[in-house]
Amino acid sequence: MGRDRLSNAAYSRVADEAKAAGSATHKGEERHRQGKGLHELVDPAGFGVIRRSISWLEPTGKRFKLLRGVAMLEETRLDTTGSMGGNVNIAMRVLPKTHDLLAKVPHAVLGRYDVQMITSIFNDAKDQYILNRSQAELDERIAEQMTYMLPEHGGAGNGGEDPQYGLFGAAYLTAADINKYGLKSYDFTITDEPARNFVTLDNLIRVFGPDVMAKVKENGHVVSEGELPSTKQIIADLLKRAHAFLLLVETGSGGAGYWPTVISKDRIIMIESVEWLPYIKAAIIGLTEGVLTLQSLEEFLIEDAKLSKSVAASIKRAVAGIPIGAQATLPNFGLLPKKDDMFAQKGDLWPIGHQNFTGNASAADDEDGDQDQKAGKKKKKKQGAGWL
Amino acid sequence: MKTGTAIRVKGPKGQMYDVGKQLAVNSRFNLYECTLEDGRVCLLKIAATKEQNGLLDREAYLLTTMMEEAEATEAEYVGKFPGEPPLNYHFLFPRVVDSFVSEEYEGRRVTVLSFFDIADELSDLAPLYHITTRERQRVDPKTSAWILGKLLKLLVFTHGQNITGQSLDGDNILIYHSDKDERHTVAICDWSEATIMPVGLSPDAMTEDIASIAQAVIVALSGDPDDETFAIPPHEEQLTDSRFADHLKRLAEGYEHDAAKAHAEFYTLIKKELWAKAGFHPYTSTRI
Repeated sequence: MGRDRLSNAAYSRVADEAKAAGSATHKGEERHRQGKGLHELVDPAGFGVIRRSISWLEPTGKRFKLLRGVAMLEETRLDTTGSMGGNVNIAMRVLPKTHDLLAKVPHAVLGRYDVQMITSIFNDAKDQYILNRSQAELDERIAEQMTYMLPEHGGAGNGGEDPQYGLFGAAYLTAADINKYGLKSYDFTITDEPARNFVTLDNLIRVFGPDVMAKVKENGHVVSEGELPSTKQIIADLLKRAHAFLLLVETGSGGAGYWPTVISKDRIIMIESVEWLPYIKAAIIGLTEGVLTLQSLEEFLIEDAKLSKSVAASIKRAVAGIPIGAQATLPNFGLLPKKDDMFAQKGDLWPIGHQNFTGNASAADDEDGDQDQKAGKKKKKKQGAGWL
Repeated sequence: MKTGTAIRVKGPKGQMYDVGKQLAVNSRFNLYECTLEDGRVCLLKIAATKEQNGLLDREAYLLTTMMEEAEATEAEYVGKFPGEPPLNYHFLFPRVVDSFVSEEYEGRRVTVLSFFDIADELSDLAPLYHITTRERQRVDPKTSAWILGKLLKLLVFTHGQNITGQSLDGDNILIYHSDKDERHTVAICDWSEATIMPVGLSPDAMTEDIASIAQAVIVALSGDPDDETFAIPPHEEQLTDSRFADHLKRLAEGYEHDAAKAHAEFYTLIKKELWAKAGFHPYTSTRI
């Protein structure tokens, strides 16, 4: 039988243990004290490097049942340098709320999917570990793997941090089933500082291991060692397979001036507090999926998220500029397999009886999801009103 | 929706909107006249496809927020400066009467907009570019000055709220001028391409907005819309001093990104230097 989703009881076991130990990341800190390095589960080089988000097909007689719906990956990448160092504690504390809003409440924004979450934390290249990256999980392992992380609270005071290695992993070292349907996963980076505009091969090897470039190639991407992509290009490539957003905490550290140079402004959200994370993510995802509108968002935040009217209005204003409905306009959005659909064999995209069933082999060919995202940005001439 | 047939659209609270003449069509929406239950005439906008729902959703949100801000700002201004002319920002964009997703129309969003604050009759409003293209008229420079002044005032307001992106060409600038009274004003009709940037607007975005309205005004003066030198046709009486044309051209060429500065400089030029003793100038146009 397949695994169950994150339950409050399962989360509480992990959270209580962390609380008793005095830190959400107590296991990671203990390992570090013992000189053991990152745990394999959160080491970006661990478990085959490529993070996989796979729909669970439960054997049922000679067929396979889609147990929880198509897997939908959500990755959150947290700055844990300097004043942002407490972010993992906050992320751990708000995890049940995040999961509820994505998967459980009556109007859960990803209710039709099997929600799988990756948590990453990033530091500065001068810190010991530039990146910690969990596996894609759906149950209490989300919280467990947070406890293995090691925020270094450093940052080096050098005018920026290094989330671009995490973005590189998201763009080139992630395999999400949702992309096979032409839809995109969700990706959030939370920071207050600028990033660096480049990655180095040495650091890529340091983060992802000596086989990093081979893994990129194995995952179906073409990246040249001699001409590594810039941060801007990494983000552009990430946007081909994920609805990616930058959540900016304004602390006067220069982030607001930097990030519009590498990601479009409609994907930069100012957040007042990392405590808002579950609500901001749910709002963005709900609007992108088309299950929420700006009209219904405030009601959702008040009724389902139990926020005050003023906070709900602030969050609504913060997210009002994003590309609303971007997921809903993608091909196959209305054709996705549903929970309990039966499949003829593993590897099939389309269940038995689906209008696309006969296309199972060919549907798997367009895996890199690039049919709808063109590189480069051309200034769009506005179309007139078309008065008659 | 078919025109010429009696179509009624039902809102979520049971209110009925009688759909009339189709006014405009484009890839984002179809626009119709519609009559409310109390007989007043509004605009009814319906998304061209469900995929465009998000644009109309954001438009309704931005217009509602702008109206709340305009009314709050007006109340504060009147309190602080009694006796001063009102700001009247709310005249410059439509009011949202209703916005909902209509299951009756394939799940497309419907927004009902009014210009009640500006015009009693919808027919008193016309796109600015119709002056030259359909009426074959050109406005005189003093009329163009109040058009530009009001549009700059609008940009001061919208840029202050980090809102940009709405089309600002003559197709989307509605002008009210009526033989019944001396009121005249302008408003931006469609906001479906507008967005809000909480991180702040780029200088390029603000410059483009200012340049767009200046270019639209030059076309209303019968300037050539394809002329990239933005040459302004001469006017014997009102353009004897080149400063107005030079200023308008400078804005059209994209030399200014600060709407508040552009607005202040423009009014200093018009009210204190060029036409200080002019007083109220009614809408004036002449045959091209």
